[in-house]
Amino acid sequence: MSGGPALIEVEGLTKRFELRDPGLFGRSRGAVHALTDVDLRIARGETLAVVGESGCGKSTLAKCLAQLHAPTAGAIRFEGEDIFRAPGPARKAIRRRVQMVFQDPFGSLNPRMTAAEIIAEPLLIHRIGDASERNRRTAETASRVGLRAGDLGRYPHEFSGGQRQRIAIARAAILEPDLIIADEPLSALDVSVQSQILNLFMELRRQSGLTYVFISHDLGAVRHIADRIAVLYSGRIVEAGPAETLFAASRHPYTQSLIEAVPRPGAGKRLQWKTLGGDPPSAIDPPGGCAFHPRCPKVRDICRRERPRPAVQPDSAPGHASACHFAEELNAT
Amino acid sequence: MTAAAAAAPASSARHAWRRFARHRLAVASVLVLALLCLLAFSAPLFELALGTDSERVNLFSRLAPPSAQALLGTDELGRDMFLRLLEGGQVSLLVGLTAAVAAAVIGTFIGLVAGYFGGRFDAFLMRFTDGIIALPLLPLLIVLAAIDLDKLGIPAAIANSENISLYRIILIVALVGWTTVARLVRGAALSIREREYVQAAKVQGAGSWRIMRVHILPNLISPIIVATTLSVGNIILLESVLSFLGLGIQPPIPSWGNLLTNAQALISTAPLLAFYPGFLILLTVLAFNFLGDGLQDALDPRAVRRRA
Amino acid sequence: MARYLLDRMVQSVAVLAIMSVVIFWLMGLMPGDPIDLMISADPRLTPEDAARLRELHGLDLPISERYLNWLTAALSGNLGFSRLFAMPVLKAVLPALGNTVLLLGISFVLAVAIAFLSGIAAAMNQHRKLDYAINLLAFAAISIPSFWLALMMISLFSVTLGWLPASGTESVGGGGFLDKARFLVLPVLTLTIVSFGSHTRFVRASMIETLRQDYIRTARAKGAGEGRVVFRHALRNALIPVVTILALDFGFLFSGALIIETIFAYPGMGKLIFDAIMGNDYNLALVTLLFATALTLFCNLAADLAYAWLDPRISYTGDGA
Repeated sequence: MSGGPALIEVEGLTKRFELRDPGLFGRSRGAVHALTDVDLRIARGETLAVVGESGCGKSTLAKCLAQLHAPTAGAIRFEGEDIFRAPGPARKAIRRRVQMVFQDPFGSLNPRMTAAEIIAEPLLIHRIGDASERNRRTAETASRVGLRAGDLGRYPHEFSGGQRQRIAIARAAILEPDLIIADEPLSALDVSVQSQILNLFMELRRQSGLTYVFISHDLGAVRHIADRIAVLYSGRIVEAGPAETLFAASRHPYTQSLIEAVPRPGAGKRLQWKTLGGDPPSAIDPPGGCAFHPRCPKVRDICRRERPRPAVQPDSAPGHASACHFAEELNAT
Repeated sequence: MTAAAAAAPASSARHAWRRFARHRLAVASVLVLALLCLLAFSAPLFELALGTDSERVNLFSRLAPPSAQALLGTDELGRDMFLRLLEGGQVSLLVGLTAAVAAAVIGTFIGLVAGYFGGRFDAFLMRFTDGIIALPLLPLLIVLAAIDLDKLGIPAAIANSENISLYRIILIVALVGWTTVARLVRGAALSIREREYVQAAKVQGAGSWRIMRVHILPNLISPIIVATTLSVGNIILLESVLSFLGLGIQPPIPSWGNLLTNAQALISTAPLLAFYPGFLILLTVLAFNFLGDGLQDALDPRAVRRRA
Repeated sequence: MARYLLDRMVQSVAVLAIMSVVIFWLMGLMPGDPIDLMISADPRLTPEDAARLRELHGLDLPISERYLNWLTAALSGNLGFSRLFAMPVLKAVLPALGNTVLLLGISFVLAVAIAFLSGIAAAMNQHRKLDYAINLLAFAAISIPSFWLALMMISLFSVTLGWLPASGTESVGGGGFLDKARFLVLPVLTLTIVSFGSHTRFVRASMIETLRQDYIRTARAKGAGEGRVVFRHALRNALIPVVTILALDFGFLFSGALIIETIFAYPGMGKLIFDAIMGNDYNLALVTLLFATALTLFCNLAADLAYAWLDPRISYTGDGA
């Protein structure tokens, strides 16, 4: 595992959404298995990227970490304290130190509040400072994320997508949190703006030693910011490890196919668009055995019968675990 | 999906005003209502100017035709009809507005809580309002209006006070009138609570009340205003009917409804006595309905036409 | 479907049961009680007599026991005795029920017919003069106080013109069918006017919404005549939401009937309820109120069924379509 004390630890995290008929006594209609038995450990100052297709459970993971969803089973520990078993005041204190940036910078900003009001809201919620103190911190944070002071009286719809995301980031940063969870913060933005926002995230990390959980469907986009990467498939972590190791020596066929889908600079045009065949698995009725087996190019009999457990191979880099029966045979290099 | 998606207030206010101004009937209604309120609440001035008051009985000039002294003639006791209409207007307008606002406040609170928290309370609320809609309202209101306050344990000092019929009618109407707003608010709150900015506020640690107050309620103001305006008309109708039947506002407080009670007996001799109060009710209710319609188009242009 | 129907029926019965408790409780809060009324009618009764009478009638029991006693009797067919009419409650209720169904039935059919004609006409002429005129009329009808309209009708047609009778159901000494019909004209007319307005607005809105749909555009593009488009393609779909609203309005219609029956001295359920409440006839008030509630609930149930029958997309079994 990578160094430093754990800021946040996830253990056996499982989240199911019951499907229930509406009404007072609605009948249950099964459940969506969004997350199953997820273990994670994020060290202070580290950036973890969680990558996977849509529907793999990565947003649910983000929302559990941000206390928007209560897990069905398992625990999330913040500095050793189980946040869902902590008493109310302690939970609120943790909330102050864990902030989130959402995917859609328009949807995540209240259209009836000015940029200044939006950025200052966390201070009001936690009753920090008086009016002048709040104004000072709002202006300071806004300038840190590259917003012009003169624009702060405007409403969200008067900003571009990139600027709106800057507002959302300022709101997350103003409390000087320890952890920021960013749920696909780039995917709603123009490509030209994406790198600016990515640079802003890295700049903030450099300034204040932030820890990030960066959720993305695009492995390529997180390569430059992530220290470690966890790959989610069908609600489970199928491979996790240091970012460079994963790119250089992935030991899971699913990760390998994701890497191949990344357009490579220097390789000229997007040559190797070898996309994955088949559909993402159903979350209501996930496949038995290894969840990836219906789409896996290297599928064998055992994959249909038995679910592989994440394991570190003897010759892997430290902290590089893969949940594939044939992890030791696979080596992308 | 109501006004929640509306753009920011600054520019949308101008758009809303332009849309409203296009509604000539709604604009006219504002003028009519302003005039009616002005007249009704300046009744004391008229009394001063005419040197009489609405309660002075003059048995020598009963059922007199309109004259310079009594602008609309007199009633069966020789009281000045014009002044009585103004006084009645005060009461009817006051009851309509107060009860509508009270119903809106109750409905907003219940709808917000149900829509935001969901769950069993919400399911129960929906069943309950469904049930209320399915009831014959007026007969039940008559029962409510007829019950004996003593038996409810209300102190005699209050139960027998002069204005008790006023408070009672406002209370009754508010108690049955909140369901429309509650359903409206509940539906909108249900959709807004899923928005990311509400999620964002939760992540920041905002409590439920703050989220409802800061993030949900402001987005519901327009539909609530529209529904409340539309309900004022209905409430004035309800008040006048109950007063007419002798169960609402009790004489000697005049209201447009109870002015008609006496006029009914005189319908063959003095039909105009019955004409004036009813016509004023019609005018007022019509104006509130046009106003509500205009406001709906102006504030809530995308809303599906809901029923008032 | 059967399951859904059963669900809804159970619900309706539950509402009715709850309402019986509520109304029974409210009746206990009405001014005076039957014994007080007897005392005021017969000043020779002493307080001791009154106490004995209370005990005799079970009025000294707690309200829950009184309710259960009433319920047991009611379920075995004994709905009590009407003090006002000096006859069993049921005997007073049944003819009134007949009269009300007649009055409401005719008015409902007329109001719906007018609403459809004017609503469709307005929708087809959206934003033209005819549309505005119909809209204005509909708004006026919604805003008119029904009791005032009734008085104006009497003033005009009975007093001034002398064409139609102002109250009752038939001439003294009885009359034929035409005589009875003459007595119905004003109440029916008034009730129709006050209820067609909201229906019209709803038909219009529903029709406009439907005419905007893609399949209507397709039908038009194929060259179908406007009449064919409206009546073959649009009407059925526009009808679906309208039906629900119409039936849900039954409670409103019944409220209107109460006012109009009272003013026109038409012996229906509405007037009976009003007289029973005003005359402190608790047995009668209780039963008539419950009848009115049951009638409204029944109409709502009928609306649900009509909705299911009209809308091919809805199947309450969950396996169809």
